Amino acid sequence: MNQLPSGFRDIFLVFILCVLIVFSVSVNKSESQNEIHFLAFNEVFQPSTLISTPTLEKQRSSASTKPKNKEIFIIREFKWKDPAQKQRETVFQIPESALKDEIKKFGRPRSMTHPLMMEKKGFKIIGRRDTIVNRKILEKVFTIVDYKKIFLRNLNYFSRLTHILMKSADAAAGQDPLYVFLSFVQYIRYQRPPEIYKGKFIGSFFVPLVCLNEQYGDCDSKSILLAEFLATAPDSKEKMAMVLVRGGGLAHALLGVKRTPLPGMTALYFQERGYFIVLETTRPGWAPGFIDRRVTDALKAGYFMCIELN
Amino acid sequence: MYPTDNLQLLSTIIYISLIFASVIISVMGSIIIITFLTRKKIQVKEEIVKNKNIGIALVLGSFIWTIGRMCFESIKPIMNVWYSSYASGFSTKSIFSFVLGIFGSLLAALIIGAIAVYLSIKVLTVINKDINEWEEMKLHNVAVGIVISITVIVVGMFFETIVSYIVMNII
Repeated sequence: MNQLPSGFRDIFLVFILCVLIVFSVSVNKSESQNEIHFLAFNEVFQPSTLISTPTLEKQRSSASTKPKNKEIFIIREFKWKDPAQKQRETVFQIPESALKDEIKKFGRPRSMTHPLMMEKKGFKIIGRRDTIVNRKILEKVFTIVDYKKIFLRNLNYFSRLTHILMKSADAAAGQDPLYVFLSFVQYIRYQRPPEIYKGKFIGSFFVPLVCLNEQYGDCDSKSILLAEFLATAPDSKEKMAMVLVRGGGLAHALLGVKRTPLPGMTALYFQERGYFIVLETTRPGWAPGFIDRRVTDALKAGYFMCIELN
Repeated sequence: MYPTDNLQLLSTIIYISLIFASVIISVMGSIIIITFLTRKKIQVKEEIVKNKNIGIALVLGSFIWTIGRMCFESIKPIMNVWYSSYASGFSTKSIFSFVLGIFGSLLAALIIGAIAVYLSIKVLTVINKDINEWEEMKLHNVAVGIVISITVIVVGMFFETIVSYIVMNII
């Protein structure tokens, strides 16, 4: 150590000191959580709005998870690469009745614009504004997809599908499946769904079963699909939220999962709920907590809202 | 993959190491670039310490900021690859390629920073053909130093956005 030039020695000592300071200051064991946190991360954003709807009771689906004797299944094959870059193939058997049920429950006829009917068909009203058209006052209603309702409703179908996915990825029951599921969803083809599907207005959003059936989806469709897999993994206690980014020329959706962010990750902080790391589902190559620079800039500017899923 | 104490400790060490490397590269790189641009006519340490030249100090500071920003922009892609490599499992080849990727990324950040700095100085010298900026700064002209610093910083802000995309392709 004494033989090193003094400059290098000083830099090395400062480096060790920084590591020790970060280690000692950020190691804390919470009595309730009993976790060790390392706080050497950057880019944590606090959302201004958090939409937390009351927990809905899980709606019993008309499609049973056990295959009935005369149940028709739609086979869908997916080729993807797991985190170790090994080629995988997953074959899903989607009950046709469940798929038809979901298509029926989501989406409104084009002419149907009454707010109550829109809420019944899977949309949620987030704002109203009066506009004057031809000297008449008309009410304009702003809606988004009711992600939480769709998420909770689809949970029944996904426990079997998640088991198939874990089996095809050779993922053990106790292993953390986050990265495996994220890789699978990222390899699903990215394409914006149509505004009108099967004669109904769906707002360019595929419900999870339809996303698997069609084998493509956009950011919010794939994020909800990933949320379904994560929620139905064995012994899953995953807390998740949809992060909708809109502003700065960007309209995007990410999935937030309640995890301790590691160094370099992008995370959102909720006052009562803690840290949520963001997951990019649109294309392969993004590790959990890493997103495109444009999206990071939009988050920094506050152009986002969060919807709790569970 | 998540969360193990080993992963958190290793990631913290790598992250702090990268920050340190960025600081060292930006400071040393800036001094070397000034020496190169002025063809060794300006000795940076002598000008700042002995002659207390504020103009040179401002220019050095802007160079350090620009190259430092480039290096910081390359840290995120490196950490992205680190977590992906950790999840996929390590082999000798993957560790070797990861370490090589770090050096390549920081080198790319330094080169892009140098290009940004060189470009901004070149633009100024072309626009102000009747002024020799370096000679003016040697004569303690702080105003010229301020103009050069701000030009370098602004050009650096434009180049900053492309660094992460280039580094992701390297790694």
